[in-house]
Amino acid sequence: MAIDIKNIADLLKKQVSDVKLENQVVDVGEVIFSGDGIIKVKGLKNVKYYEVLAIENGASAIALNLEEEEVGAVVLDDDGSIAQGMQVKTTGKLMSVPVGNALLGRIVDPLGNPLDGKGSIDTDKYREIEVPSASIMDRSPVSQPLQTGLISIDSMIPIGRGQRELIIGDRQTGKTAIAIDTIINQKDKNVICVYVAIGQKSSTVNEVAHKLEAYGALDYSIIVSATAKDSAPLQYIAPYSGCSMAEEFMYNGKDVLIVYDDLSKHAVAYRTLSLLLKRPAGREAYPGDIFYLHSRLLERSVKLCDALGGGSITALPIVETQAGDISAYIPTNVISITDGQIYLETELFNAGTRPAVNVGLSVSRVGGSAQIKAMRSVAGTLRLDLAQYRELAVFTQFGSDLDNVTKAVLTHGEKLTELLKQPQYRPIPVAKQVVMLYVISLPSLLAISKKHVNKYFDEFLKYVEENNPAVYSDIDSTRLLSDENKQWLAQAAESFTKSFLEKI
Amino acid sequence: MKTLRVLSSKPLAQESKEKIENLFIKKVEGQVEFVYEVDASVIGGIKVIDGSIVYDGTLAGKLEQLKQSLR
Ligand SMILES: Nc1ncnc2c1ncn2[C@@H]1O[C@H](COP(=O)(O)OP(=O)(O)OP(=O)(O)O)[C@@H](O)[C@H]1O
Ligand SMILES: [Mg+2]
Repeated sequence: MAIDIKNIADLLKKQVSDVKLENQVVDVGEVIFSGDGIIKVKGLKNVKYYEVLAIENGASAIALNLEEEEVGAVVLDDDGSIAQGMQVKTTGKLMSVPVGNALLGRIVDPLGNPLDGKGSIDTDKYREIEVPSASIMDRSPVSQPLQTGLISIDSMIPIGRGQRELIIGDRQTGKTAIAIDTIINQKDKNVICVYVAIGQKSSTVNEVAHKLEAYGALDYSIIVSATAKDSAPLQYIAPYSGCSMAEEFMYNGKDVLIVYDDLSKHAVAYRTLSLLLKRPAGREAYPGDIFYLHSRLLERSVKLCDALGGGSITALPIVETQAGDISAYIPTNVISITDGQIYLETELFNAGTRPAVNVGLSVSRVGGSAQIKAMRSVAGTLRLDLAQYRELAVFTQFGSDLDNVTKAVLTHGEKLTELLKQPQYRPIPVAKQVVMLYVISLPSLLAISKKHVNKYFDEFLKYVEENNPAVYSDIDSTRLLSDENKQWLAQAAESFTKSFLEKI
Repeated sequence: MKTLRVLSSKPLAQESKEKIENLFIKKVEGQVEFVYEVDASVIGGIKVIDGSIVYDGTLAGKLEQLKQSLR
């Protein structure tokens, strides 16, 4: 193909004539210190918080510490060549990232640069990363469910669109798994997902990307990644960048799910920055404003009112605890900011109860109203049943003489516990969850022992699908489990149980 | 007393100096002194430097903006 020189010339001419050349007022300062991704600049009297600074060597920085005589800034693209005495100019721009549809399916760094080798990101829309959250008047109450596809969560710790639900637990308890399963469950549900990886190994982030791709979830997702190898400034801004990308969709009427994995590492990055900026340190050496930082971030997750398009951002921040201690500084902070928490436990995890949710310590403060009626009706007593079971289980470890009522509570509790176990990457649609929870309590199920519960339901759900799929579609469309369908399920369970018992 | 440096590629006419001084006396608080310097690197136009703040109306500044936007 011949290169059309005239076309290129025209293009260049247009580009040049589009540039607005103005007389500029710039604030010029001088680097007086540079090191560890931080610079201190003398001068810059009129600089703004979060303003982008242009350094003489071509690098850029964000102004974070505004003091009387000097400005502390974090360098975003430090190649080690910043030296004392270099000129630093204000740019008049606040830190922004590219936003919009072009980011879907992509893995980017917190500046919006592609990390996936799939070419440049084609967008001319940008959004500042530090913006105020929607005002109270612009919000509406959380009322629609965001299904995780995990039966233990959707039934007992329901999450609504616009809610902030913390996932908290020690290392390797399945925190990330819950978030990833929730993202996978949004397939064909018109929810955009943003996964922000902060301070993780790049191999872990790659694994997440591969899984999302394998389950067809990458197309509606954005991965924002600042790994452990990246600088503290990049790790620090990652959640704000991700949140701005999410907001762009929310303000266009879309529902968005954002995962911050995790805020413990984010706090550590901020602590590093703050120590370098010589800010006073407080509890656990974290700077005093870390609470404010996280609350401002999570405040940006809201459900907008209809006048503003009704979009939402649901946030799943993740916090890692040490030896289950939720009273440490960052966990208590984030617990108090969020609308509930999903508490994961190593003991449960190791005992094979996965997801390792401690139901007693987990809550959702707004989600109940966002549950569909059918779910509310079958899950109403679930928490209580399980609590009773756990209490009795401890109590009866020592004795063997049990009355029938106690025995019944114990066997039912054991079966429920089995039912709530769920492998990774296998989200269950809410209609099926409702059927499972309804059927497990039927008298005909007494004959099924706990070790067969999972196999039983695998097959029973298929049986319903083959023989009366309307049960599922009715729940989806009416959000109710009708008496008629209940009756059908009870009869089906009875005959199905008979043939199931003959087979095994 | 504050000193404002005024840079231009050629010596400025008295008339231009008066215009500049009238403009900046209003902008800047207190007593001001103007120091004129000839600096060929500005290429054209003028640049007024008030401490760390630079009012850049030079051709060199505009070329720099053009360079940035074509990157
Ligand atoms: N429901 C599940 N069923 C079976 N295995 C699971 C389940 N959830 C998580 N796992 C496995 O447990 C391990 C830890 O899970 P995951 O990485 O999600 O935990 P984490 O709490 O995020 O860990 P980290 O503290 O390292 O971030 C992984 O190997 C994962 O595959
Ligand atoms: Mg994890």
